Amino acid sequence: MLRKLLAFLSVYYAHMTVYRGEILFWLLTGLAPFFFMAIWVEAARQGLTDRDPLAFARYFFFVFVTRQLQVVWVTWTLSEEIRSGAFAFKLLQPLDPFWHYLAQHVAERGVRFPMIFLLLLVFLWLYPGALFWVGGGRLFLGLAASLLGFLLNFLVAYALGLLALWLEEATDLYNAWYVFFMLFSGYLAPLDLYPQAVRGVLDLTPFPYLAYLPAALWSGEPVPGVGRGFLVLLGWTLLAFLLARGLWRAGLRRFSAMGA
Amino acid sequence: MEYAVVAEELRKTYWVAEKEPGLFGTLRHFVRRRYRRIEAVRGVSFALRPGEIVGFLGPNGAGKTTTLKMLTGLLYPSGGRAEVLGYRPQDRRPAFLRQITLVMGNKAQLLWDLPVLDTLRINAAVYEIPEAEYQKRVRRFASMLGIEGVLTQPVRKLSLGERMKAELMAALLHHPRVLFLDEPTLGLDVNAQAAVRDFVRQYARAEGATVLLTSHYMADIEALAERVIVIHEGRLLFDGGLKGLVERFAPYKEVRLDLEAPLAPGDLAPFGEVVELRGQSARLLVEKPRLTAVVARLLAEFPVRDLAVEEPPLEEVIGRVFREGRVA
Amino acid sequence: MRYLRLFFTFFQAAMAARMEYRANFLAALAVVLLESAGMLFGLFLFYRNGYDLGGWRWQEALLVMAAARFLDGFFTSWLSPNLQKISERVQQGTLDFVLLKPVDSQFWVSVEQFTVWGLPSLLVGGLLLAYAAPAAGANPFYFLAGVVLGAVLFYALAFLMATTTIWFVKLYNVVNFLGAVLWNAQYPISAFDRPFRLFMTYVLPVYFMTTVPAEVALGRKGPGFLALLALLAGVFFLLSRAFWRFALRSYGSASS
Repeated sequence: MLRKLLAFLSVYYAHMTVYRGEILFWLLTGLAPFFFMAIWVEAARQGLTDRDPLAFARYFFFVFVTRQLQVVWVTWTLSEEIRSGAFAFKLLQPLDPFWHYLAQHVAERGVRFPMIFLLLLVFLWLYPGALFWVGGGRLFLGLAASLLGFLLNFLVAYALGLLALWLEEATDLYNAWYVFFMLFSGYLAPLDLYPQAVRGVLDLTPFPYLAYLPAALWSGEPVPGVGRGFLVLLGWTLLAFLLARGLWRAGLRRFSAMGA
Repeated sequence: MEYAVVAEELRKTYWVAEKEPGLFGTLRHFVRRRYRRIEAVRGVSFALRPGEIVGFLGPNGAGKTTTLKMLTGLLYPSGGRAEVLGYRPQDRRPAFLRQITLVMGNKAQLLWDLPVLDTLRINAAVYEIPEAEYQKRVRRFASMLGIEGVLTQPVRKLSLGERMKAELMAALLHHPRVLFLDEPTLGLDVNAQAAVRDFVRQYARAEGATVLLTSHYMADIEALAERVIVIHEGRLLFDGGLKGLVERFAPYKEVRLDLEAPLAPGDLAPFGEVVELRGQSARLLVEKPRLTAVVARLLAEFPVRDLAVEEPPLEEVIGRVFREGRVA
Repeated sequence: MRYLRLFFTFFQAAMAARMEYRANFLAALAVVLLESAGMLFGLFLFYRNGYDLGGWRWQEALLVMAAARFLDGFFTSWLSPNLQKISERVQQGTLDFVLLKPVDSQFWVSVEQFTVWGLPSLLVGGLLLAYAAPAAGANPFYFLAGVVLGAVLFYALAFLMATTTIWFVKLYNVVNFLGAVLWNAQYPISAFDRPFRLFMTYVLPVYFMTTVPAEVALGRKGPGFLALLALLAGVFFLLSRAFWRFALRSYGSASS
């Protein structure tokens, strides 16, 4: 198993370096937190909230980082492979294709993160003094939330991608999930600025723990209910896992009935 | 095990959505869909002994690919029974998947932007081939196929022939015992076709593998298979030796003529079916009982420079079978 | 006339191809409505706290958002699928077929594709405009003229970037990047921190596409500014044509 893992990661890492130009542009596509950073920093400067401008800068930078850890495209790959018929080859292997896709994503982070380092430099140049050491505990918790968030995103995207077996094209469905994420995760504004009533509902959804939780942890802001947050996130991840397994079984039946 | 591959009354039925052309058709299709039943395979039975190489023939849409997909477990049969190496293919057990392979001439499993070796390494990991054994197989296959030089080039830079050879390497790396080859020589030039054929033959002989192969190129079938299975519109037309196929469906001989002067198109029509007429040379198919009489008349009525009687090419025999839709 | 007919033929064929996926269409519709609602909510977060994005009343800021929606619809329905298709054509060598047609090749590759996905955005843009223009006392004709010019400018810039596909082949994420840049310009430029303002004016000039039409319609900038925008759009349009022709010269040697 270890050998399998290493072979997958090394080959897919090579694969991803071929797409480094693509990945760079994709990274740039995800710059929205920087633009919202610019808006909130300006607003804070004019005295809108009691957060100071640098706190906003810090928050949005970490929103960006955690988002980059959680980026997935497996819906797209599945749709593409199902339509082109390449999916059949994966089914002929004595290994669940899930591991192929997961390894691709993990390997891709190895290409993506060195690029993020460059953005870090730009950020430090724009907002000197925005970053400080928050302590190992928070760093670890934020990372754990990000990785769990990645897993949840991946499982949801995987489940939606399998729907391509019925719908031929499933990428728009993932866009729907992404819009929910964007609006309710703290991607556009720190969630503590949302009206209290809205937050009460959001706390039960997985979204606040995908961006707000890790970003707030990393930027050293007070975060009440961390333990509960992890539990909710874990619960949704488990649910997504079951959904993905169920759709995989049903999808195989479907595929073997219709071909593709 | 008596048989490596068994198909028994195998059936497959699909429903496909239909759409009329034009904007109106689109809108109607969007609101309410009409479906049509397609019987791709309607009860096909055959069995392959271990080590046999069998050609699987039929025109486009005859149900060849559907049958292959059922035998590899990609498609669930609507009826009948499939059995490969004692397994039910549709269960997709890992032990079964480790022993088969499917090559599709029009689809690629290689990673497009990476060198061939990288895909091979993935497959080695998937099929748990030990490192030393992996190296040995890669060297052996590459030299058999003559593509040692291109294994480190990205797949997209390879020629069609090289790519197909590399696909075969990837598909056979785990030493499968049953090979399903769907048009493995599609679009290749004559040399590459011959190389692919030789490779398949050598591999099958060395490993005692069973091969079921479809191809549009009769040369493939003639070179590899002693036995052929012909299906047409989802039904079995013929199952037997290549020679038997010719005798059964082609009670013809081909007469090649070389003449002193060009002929008008209609001149030869009374003697048999004109397959080709080019200036002063012609080829025509003549039913065997009439052969002697026809040859005598041809010699008497036309200024013949040369005349030869041969077995007709397999393509024409098969084409004739399909055109007439004759059922065995 | 011939070009117009060609355009409608493409339009129809593309509709047919995309309507196949009806679940997706409904999903896309829901996504845009939700996204628009979310963006309004985002804007509301500021105004709720009495912050005016650097001197814009609520209705005035909505005009900027309307312009962004229109451009997004244009991008999603026409620009994005066509630009993707160009890179697909280069990869598969089917650009040859276009070059053999007795039709302007840039026209062909720019209008051949169409998806319905952008229509909900156009709808939302229309609704925003219908509400905000009278409420803010804006001139809708200046506004629409500004948006159309902005669209031309956006097209020209996007096409310039897309043309590089002749050499680099892959374009999927470049096109998405363009969409994302536009997406970030839904708020008036004065809302952004200064370095970003400069970036959005001089590097990726989205300022001219969303904020300027609103400013002109509100009378904050004179109609002369439209002429400037027209000039800018025209220059970049001609540039995109010249660059396309230049790129095609290297295309022949690139095909294999």
